[in-house]
Amino acid sequence: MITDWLQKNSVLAQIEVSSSTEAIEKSGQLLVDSGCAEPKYITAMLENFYRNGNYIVMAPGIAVPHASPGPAVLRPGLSLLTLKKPIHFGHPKNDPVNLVAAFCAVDHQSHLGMLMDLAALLERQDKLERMRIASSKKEILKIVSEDVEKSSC
Amino acid sequence: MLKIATVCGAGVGSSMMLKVFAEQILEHESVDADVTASDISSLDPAAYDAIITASAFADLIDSKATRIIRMDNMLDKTYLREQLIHVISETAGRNEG
Repeated sequence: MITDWLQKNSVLAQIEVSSSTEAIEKSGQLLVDSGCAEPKYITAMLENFYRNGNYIVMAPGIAVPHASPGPAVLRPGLSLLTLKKPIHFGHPKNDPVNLVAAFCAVDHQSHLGMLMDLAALLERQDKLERMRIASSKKEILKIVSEDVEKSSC
Repeated sequence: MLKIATVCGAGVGSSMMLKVFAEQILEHESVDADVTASDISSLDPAAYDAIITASAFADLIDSKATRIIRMDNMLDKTYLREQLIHVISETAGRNEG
């Protein structure tokens, strides 16, 4: 369930950032704060973004920063933050971004359930719209946890 | 059997998500297919009938024979279904002819 991954130390609402780099750093810091990754993982996320480009903006307004599994990942983790002011990541169609969901994985398989829980959440347009305007993490967590058993991927 | 690769940068995120979506669609269509998630650096395009990936990677894949499905919105399963059905009918036509 998505609520196993998104908790009060891995969610932030209406963060102000001035660049895509800063947005990625903040989303990665949540993975560090929740004990899922070491600070080096944030560097790896930025390297993946610089090397492979804007593909991390996987849907309109949604960026999903991540890096390959490695020693900087302590356990699978997910974070979610909303941006007060939308930021351009350089994607031709999906810019600007106002929701950033970072994740870390320990291998190529074991985080699949987490990823599909995230997809099921992001496919819900009604929830997306409400999360984007939510003013507090408490409000976001409430939206995330609503009818989770009914969501499917 | 249809051979499909889903491709992204790290091989753990969008390629995994697209693999699951593609498998769900192909199973629903009762198509026998093998879907592999790959990172862009280890991809051999010639080994697959179709490749599903983000536009940023589609531009890097040098293959005339392999059909490439560009997913700007990776959560758009309706578009993915349309494109996969197209690939299925093309492949069926090729095998019969």
